[in-house]
Amino acid sequence: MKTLALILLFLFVAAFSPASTVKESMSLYGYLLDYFQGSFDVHTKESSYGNTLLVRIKADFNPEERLRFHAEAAYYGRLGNQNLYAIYDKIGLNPERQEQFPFNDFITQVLVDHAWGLANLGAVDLQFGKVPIAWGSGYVFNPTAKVAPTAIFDEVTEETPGTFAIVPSYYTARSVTFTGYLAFQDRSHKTFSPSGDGEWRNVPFGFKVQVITGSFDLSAGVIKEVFYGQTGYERDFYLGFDLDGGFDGCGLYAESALRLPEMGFRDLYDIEESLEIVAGCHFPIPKLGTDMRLEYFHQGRGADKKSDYDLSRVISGEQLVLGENYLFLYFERYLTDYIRISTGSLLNLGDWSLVLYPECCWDVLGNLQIYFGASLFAGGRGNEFSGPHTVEGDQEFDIIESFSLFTRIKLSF
Amino acid sequence: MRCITIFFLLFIFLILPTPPVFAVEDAHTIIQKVDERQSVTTSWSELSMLVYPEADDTENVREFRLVTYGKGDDDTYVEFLSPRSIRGLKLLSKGDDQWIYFASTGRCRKISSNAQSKRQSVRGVGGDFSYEDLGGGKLQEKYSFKLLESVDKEWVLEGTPKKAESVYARIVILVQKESYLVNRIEYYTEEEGHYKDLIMEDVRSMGGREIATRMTMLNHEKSSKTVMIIHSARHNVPINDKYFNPTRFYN
Repeated sequence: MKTLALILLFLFVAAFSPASTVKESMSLYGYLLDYFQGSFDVHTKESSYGNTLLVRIKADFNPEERLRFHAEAAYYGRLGNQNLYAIYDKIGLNPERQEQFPFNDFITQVLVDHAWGLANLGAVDLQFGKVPIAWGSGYVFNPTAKVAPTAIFDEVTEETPGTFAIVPSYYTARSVTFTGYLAFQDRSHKTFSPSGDGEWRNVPFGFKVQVITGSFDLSAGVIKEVFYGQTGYERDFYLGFDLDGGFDGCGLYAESALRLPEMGFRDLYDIEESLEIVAGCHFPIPKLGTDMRLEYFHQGRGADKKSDYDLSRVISGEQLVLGENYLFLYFERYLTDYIRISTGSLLNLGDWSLVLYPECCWDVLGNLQIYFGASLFAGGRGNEFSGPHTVEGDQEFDIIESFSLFTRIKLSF
Repeated sequence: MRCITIFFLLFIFLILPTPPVFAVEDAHTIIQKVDERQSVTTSWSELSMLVYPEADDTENVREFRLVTYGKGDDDTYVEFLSPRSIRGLKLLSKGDDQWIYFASTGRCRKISSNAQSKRQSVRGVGGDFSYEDLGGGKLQEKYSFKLLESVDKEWVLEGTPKKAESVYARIVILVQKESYLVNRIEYYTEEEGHYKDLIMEDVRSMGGREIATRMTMLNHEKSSKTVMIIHSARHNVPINDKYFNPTRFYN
């Protein structure tokens, strides 16, 4: 599989390299990114480092006016504390040693992340392939994005992962759009294919109606989420709602997903537990020359007491965070057109643990950006952002460092 | 009684200043012609944006290449082609509403329609053209004008915004008498006073119309400037409607 990906990447580069007979409607671009991080834990007094190298190559090809092809291939090299295998080895979560698999590469990875075509057929767009499906107006949390794994503290890349899917959209003349997707893989994007993959009941899909109206853009729809978790396939239906706009000088947005009761289990249905909601606002503070963003997130399935935290739910991708209620606060200020400082913080409103990440971004040149930043984790023992944690209620792990410093260098080409 | 009436009329015409309604009508006619002159069914242009953080330092410059589509007076689509770091960034303006699409995240966000947000330049681009400056709309719909001065070859008009959420407290616009082309726009805000100047130069025939191909925005507060150079333009050509649909322009 990896070899195939390498071949695809090679063909990709060769086909679109400037040396080939490139038409004007073709373009090849991307970036090279190096992320270097040093971490320290005040409790264990241990420190570690990690490095991620990412090359992301993007290609656009318009064979004719109404057709478009887009592809993105990525090469990752993850070392030290940026390598999940190294982390799991360190805390004893890996059941088998990596040395037992000499033909497997646990450090580098090559993948074709996006590869999609888009046909513009009058009032209909038909997109298909490995498509990034980014639903929702939330900034940190997107309850209606139920088709691909997400991470809240991904300091390396911001791309939405591609999902094997068909995405049709129908646009009416009255600012109303009907859009949907039929995906062929579950939200975990697992890299193995059990027999249940071919069953119709395991096909995720989503459908929504978007309306552009006055100050707010609205959308509402139905989503079927399929997730291959610790207990096999889990299937849920949701009603999704999204709002994005502004009122009286303040940008406002809200996004929610309400899980519907399962057939035959209506007595066990708890609406509060079934609701995921994000509500946020953003506005400038002219006196400080600063922009501020505030986002509240409620995760009905989250644990309301820290004794119920189960890290395996986050590791498996089932949940983004462990708790029930969160507040995200973000400040951003441009010192010059090309130097930006920002501070984000995410507070677990249940155990009051906190992660804070100040960052400075300098656009040294048009195609060179250097970031400096830190992540600071604070909270009492056993809290979400301070650890230690238990997996499935027995073994205790401490995978959260107290703080880390990082640099990220990004060269676009 | 008749003497009193004649005296009264003489008083009205000779002593009292000219009633402002005439000036408003004149200003209205001029701006109407300016808008008519600029009005197109559709437009397409390819341009460069040169950002000079210090107006006097011509060595320190950052260049952006972009393509724009326009429909009517209100709809404008802008796509950044370079630098590569922001390639694919797209901006749609429809009247007062604006949306921005970030190619990296695949997300489209509505820009809050308040003065402070529209005052900002495009994220990752910088420069002195704000979201409001890049948006469309007829001058006569956005501002109420009065004629300040009529000099040799130009009219000088002052515009006050019709909408409360406007970034600017007033603008002063210099219009060529011969061609109804705008030579210069001065922007004033409550806080900064004389904030920016937009200078239109290098008028050329492009796409069958006479247009200023070099627009310089001087920012007096930051002592910076941004120059837009139009390399090519076409007018009244067929353009796919998808570029003006907020849920489709990024596809």
